[in-house]
Amino acid sequence: MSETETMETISRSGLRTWLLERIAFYLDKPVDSIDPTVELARYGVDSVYAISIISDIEDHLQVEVDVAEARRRGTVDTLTDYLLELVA
Amino acid sequence: MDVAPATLTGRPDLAGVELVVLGDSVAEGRDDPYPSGGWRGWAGRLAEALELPAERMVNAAIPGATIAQVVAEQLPVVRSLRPRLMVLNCGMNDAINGFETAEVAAHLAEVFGWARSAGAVGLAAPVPHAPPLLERSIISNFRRKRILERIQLFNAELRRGTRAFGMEFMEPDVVPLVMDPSLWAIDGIHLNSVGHAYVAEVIIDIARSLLGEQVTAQTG
Repeated sequence: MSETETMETISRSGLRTWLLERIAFYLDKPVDSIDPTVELARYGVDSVYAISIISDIEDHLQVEVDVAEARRRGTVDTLTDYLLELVA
Repeated sequence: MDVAPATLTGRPDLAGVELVVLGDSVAEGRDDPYPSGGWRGWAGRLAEALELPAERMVNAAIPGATIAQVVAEQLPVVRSLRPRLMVLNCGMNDAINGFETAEVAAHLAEVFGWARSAGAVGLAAPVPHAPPLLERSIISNFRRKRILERIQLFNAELRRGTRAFGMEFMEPDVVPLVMDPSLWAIDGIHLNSVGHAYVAEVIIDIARSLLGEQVTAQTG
């Protein structure tokens, strides 16, 4: 997918699904085992995973993410909302 | 200024200060230690080459400083001094964190404006193009690209600002070996002793030339 397509097709559900897939990949868990309303820390997302995930987010959305701010958004849902604000 | 800045109290002969260094941890000399402790860095090596004893140099550099912090925290410390030479080495923290170009330009104008009004010749060191850290750490391609762009942008502001105030910008291509990872410390963001010595050699040449012109201008 090109950068332009990524930007044009960004939607809440699309971004949330993409995030869930990335997090599931790093945690080596099935996607449907991650609840977007549950704190990511409870799944074992530590600072190293967080940095990797944020790096993927930056390349996916072509935006620089404030790491401290992103980490305050503890769930996939709140993180999705924050990222949508960033690219808006 | 009536009151000596806090960090310079106890320095009896401020009138004799000939060299002022402003900037970040690289200006401070990080990762180029004296055997006896403390940082030597290109600044210490410059002072040695100019045969300036410690009391004739003020290195006000603070690790992590952006150009905004140089103006807010370092300029007040040296404002009352009348050095012959001012060297600024700053910008990597700006490039990493992001900046507004107009703000950088205004801050640089304050630094160079002070140096000019103090009667100093001024030199600005460039932000190195590709610190090895950028290749080593977990960092998005997008962020890496933006940091590299900001390094270029900051150097463009240094180039513009020095020119506007009749000062010298050390072009990145006069220190090409800085691209060699063996000149960097393990952390990938600070020069090691070899790197500081290499940069110092170039700075010393430029400084001697600037100070020579200054003497010519004053006597001629």
